[in-house]
Amino acid sequence: MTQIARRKYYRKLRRDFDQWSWVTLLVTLFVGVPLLFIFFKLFGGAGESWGHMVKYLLPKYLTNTLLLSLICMVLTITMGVSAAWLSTRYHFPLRKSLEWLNILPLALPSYITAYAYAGIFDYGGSLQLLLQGLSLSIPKIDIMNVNGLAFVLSVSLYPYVYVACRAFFLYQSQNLIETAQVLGDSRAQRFFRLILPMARPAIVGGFILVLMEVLNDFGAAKYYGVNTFTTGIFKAWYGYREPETAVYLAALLLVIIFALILLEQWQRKRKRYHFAGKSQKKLARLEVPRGRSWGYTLIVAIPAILGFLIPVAQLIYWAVLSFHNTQWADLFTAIFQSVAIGAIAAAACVFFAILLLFTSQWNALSGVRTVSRFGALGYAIPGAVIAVGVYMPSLVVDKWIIGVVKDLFSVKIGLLLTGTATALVYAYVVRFLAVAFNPLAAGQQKMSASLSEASYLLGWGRLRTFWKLEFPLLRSAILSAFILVFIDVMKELPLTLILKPNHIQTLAVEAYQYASDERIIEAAWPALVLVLSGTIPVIFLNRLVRNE
Amino acid sequence: MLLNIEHLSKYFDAGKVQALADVSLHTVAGKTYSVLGESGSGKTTLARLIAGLERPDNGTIYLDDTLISSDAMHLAPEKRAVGLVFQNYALFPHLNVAQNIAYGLRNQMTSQREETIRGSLDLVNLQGYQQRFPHELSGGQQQRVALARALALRPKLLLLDEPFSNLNNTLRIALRDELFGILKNLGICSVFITHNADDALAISDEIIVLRDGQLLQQAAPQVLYEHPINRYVAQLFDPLVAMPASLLQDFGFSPSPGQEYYLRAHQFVLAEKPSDYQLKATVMQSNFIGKHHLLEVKIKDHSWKIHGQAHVPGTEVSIGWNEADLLRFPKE
Repeated sequence: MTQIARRKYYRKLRRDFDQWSWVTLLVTLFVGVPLLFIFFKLFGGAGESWGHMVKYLLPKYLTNTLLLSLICMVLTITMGVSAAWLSTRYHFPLRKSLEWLNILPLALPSYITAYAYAGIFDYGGSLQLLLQGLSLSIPKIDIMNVNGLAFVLSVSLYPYVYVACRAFFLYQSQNLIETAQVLGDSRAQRFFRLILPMARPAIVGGFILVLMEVLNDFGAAKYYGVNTFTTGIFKAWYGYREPETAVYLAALLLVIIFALILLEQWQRKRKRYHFAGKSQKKLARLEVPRGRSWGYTLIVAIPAILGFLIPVAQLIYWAVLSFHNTQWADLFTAIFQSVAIGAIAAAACVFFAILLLFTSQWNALSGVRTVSRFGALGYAIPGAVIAVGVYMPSLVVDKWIIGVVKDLFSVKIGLLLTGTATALVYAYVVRFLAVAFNPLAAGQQKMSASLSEASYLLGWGRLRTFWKLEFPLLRSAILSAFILVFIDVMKELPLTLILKPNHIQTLAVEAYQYASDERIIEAAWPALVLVLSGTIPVIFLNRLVRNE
Repeated sequence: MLLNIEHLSKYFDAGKVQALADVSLHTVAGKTYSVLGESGSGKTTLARLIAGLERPDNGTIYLDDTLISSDAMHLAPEKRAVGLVFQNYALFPHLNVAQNIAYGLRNQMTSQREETIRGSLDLVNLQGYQQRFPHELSGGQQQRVALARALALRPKLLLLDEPFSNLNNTLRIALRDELFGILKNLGICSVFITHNADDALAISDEIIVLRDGQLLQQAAPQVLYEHPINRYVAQLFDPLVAMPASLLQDFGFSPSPGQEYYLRAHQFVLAEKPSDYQLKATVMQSNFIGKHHLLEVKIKDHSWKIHGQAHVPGTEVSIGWNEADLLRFPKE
């Protein structure tokens, strides 16, 4: 750069770097601290048992995690794509009910589904009782292993693929399919040669969410005794009491996740999946040939039955069994605290998501906008990793504050952040910011940019325009964002386990503790309340989406 | 000078795409201007730079002798007193007509505000529409509300981005003339962004032609039509026919070697009597295209597409033109 060009560059930078750029960078930094901390901690050396881990445990973590991911990929894509395709393309009995029933498995945390299936296949479990009742007997099916875990995770996570594909199929052009038909493709050829390749971004997008949940899972893997990366982090943290080793494992997991994200982006580069023409005719629904319609119903129903109805039935059965043993006071405390902390975290997430979304756009520097995307990365990061990344720096800050206060006032104070609800809510914000960010960004994209620009030209600044215009127009997106984060926080387990203060008891943690104390039947009530609290918003959201 | 733009440049995609290249122009208060160009010519970018919705990479914009944009400063759009009517009108969907118009009126008392709303609606002939919502209005009515909303603030400068592109032809012409009258009466300097040469001719005191981000010519409509600076500007208004030097010589005209010659397709005269003009031609095809026929005529080994009256294909005609109509440009 010549000197004149450099001077010009700085002049423009001074013009364009304004208060919004500052806020954007500060919010991004705020939610980026845990990841940055883990990154820098890598240079501090591993813990003593790292060598032992690499030699004896890491290969198992790797193969288990890989195997788990592969089986889940096959199962979730098969279930999700077929249910989505049939229910958007054909008329068959119960289609409308199944459409939203196939979303409901998301209301069940996967560790709850795992507990339910463990109970079903156990010695003296529901399946055996049922078969005895029918005077049948089959050999015991052992599901407490990688395959069983993969099955459980698949039936509880396939809706991510289903929802993504359904949205994609709904907006496909009828003309494309008709063209393939005119060109001589049979029904099956049309599906495999046209529909499936075109749906790839939706399938991959949905599956990436599945994969992140698989990598994030702690409760189910722990209960099934399968060693994965996440259980490894817990082992290092609680078993060996070596945060450094946990950080190394977390960092390794991060590398894998980033590699996946990059791989996906590189793969779909330059390809276009959207039909370019205007005036699309939407996909028409076909009648299913007589006699086959209930078959279609069954194909679409199986995932929902496996992922929702069976586990819920098992929970209800347990709930009835444990009715008299239940500590109702404890349960209500847990409900109250879960809802309170969920609402606070959801509000905080929505607040920061709005702040990041709008300030990054108000700022005029594209570089700052690019950096701000890192703020929404937390959702890809397993909860256990974030927990480690929050716990350690908050301890550092606490030590520093205690030192300063002691020096200045000669007073001894306790920990202000570590092990408090503040740190927990902060960790939720880091992890779930993207969950709030995406519906808001989608809502804002639907809103024509010229509306806000018209407001500026009518004399209102950014903040006033937000209050007068964008906030009222984005109300339903904001509500969706709040609800989505709320559900996720209620269900969240690994992060909560590590960071929650002792006096706070959430439903997720309560269910987990009963299950790990071999009192699985008593886990039924907190689990059912969790399912219920997840179900109502899902139905509500479904209606909201349909009304729009 | 109301608006004074000097050496304005704007790049997109980190400097890879140049949207506007060294554009300088100025406007005078009370006059109407059109920025005419194809999509991608930079005309919308120019409007957004003037409104403050984009920041220039180079150059300066002065409004009323006050610097509002340069590479070192940027006055926020809300502080510029520049109005903009968007192509999609950008009416706020959750507010009714009166609330839309009142949106920008902040320092007015309620009674005064109502007076302004009524006055604005009178101006655009929408009396009694206060309580309607945008989705209850037709495209033409929405356009009027958008105009009323922008005018209620009495901006120094009003920008209109493709204001007629969403309207049918009849409505477009009616609204165009009405709009022109309103703006003239108010004496507001306005800049129309358009790709339609007819619109530009009909409503402007001056037309600014942009191509690939460069300003080709700024002139009054008639000057632009009669003395276009190059072939591109000339063909914006009518299809051109290239006149080969050899044919011009046959016609008794001596072309200069460094120049190209063109005639607008409708400026030919045809006669069936072979004696009238020196050039003989054969009509190859004759298609009715509305106001006239599009004729394909063959003269020696040249084939032209010109406008004229119906002829049976195969007819021998003689062809002529007025020498004063010839457009001449330096060879490209």
